[in-house]
Amino acid sequence: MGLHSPIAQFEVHDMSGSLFSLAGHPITFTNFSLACVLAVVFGSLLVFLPLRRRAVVPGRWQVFVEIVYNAIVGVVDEASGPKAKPFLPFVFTLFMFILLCNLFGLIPGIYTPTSQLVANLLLSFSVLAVIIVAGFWRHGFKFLNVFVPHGVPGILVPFLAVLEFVSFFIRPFSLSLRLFGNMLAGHILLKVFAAMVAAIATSGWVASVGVFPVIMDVAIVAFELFVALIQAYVFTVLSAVYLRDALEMH
Amino acid sequence: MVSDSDQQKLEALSARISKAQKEANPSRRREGESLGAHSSIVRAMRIGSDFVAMVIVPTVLGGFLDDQLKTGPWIMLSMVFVGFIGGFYSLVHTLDEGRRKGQDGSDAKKE
Repeated sequence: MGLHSPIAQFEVHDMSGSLFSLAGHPITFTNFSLACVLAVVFGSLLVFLPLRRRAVVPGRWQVFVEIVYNAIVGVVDEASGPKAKPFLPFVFTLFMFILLCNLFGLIPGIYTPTSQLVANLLLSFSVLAVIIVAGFWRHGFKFLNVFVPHGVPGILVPFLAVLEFVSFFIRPFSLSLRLFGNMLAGHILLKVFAAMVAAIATSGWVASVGVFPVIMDVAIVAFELFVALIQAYVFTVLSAVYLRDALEMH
Repeated sequence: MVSDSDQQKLEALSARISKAQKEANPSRRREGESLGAHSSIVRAMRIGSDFVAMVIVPTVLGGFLDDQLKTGPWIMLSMVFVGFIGGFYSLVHTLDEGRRKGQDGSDAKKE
């Protein structure tokens, strides 16, 4: 990969050497791990520090945390219904982690964990696991009725049940592909325009034209901030919607 | 003259009505407000990626099975076909769900 390769930013580098071995595989601390740790530490500080005092008249940070918390409470209440209250901490953690991973990725030099498909798959399969456990916990084996479509002719039921079954297990892939695609494309676009700035700036008399890709790059950064927020929101809302399907069935 | 048993029945009825109202209000707010612009964005994002995932995942799985079983392109081709059917089914399902919720929302507003 050359210096300006737009996909070099997605390479995972070992930062620590082998820490220990697990089932024959060396476990190392990478730039991916660093970004995840940063997201977790910063997210925890962001939530716990302002709420330590729990002032009746809240300060700025407490107001900020309360706004974010209320937004997620609203999402869970609206998308999943009142039965999903016990799952609020899970959904809130999911939102904060994805949002902070997306935002940290916009800082030059910090890896974007959500641009790795496998990381997103891990997150979305954890959502699927929670949904399945919640479904069986709430409904027992009647939860399997979620695969049986209603209001269709009897002859179509077996075919549609297979499709429902497949589409149920495709959901985590759909969740993770969306986040992966948006993050990957955004960061590649940023790097392509940044490389264009560097190339034009060193090309003699046309150097002044280089201001246009700079403007474009700044605009894309602003757009990426929006994408980071909206993708975290979409992941959270869809997780909550899938949760409702499991808790309330048809 | 209202007897004690009637009074108790009235109080029980009143408690049931207020409980039912409390339960009904959040759901009305849910249908009326939440499914506005936000849910439209979410649904729009969901439709595209659901369709893509429904085609890609079975195709990759079919390719893997073809490799393992040495069955040429046949499993992969059939999985592409199944993926497209599943993709369109999921598309129609999501759109229908949105249409029904949209109707519920407008009904709630009319009330």
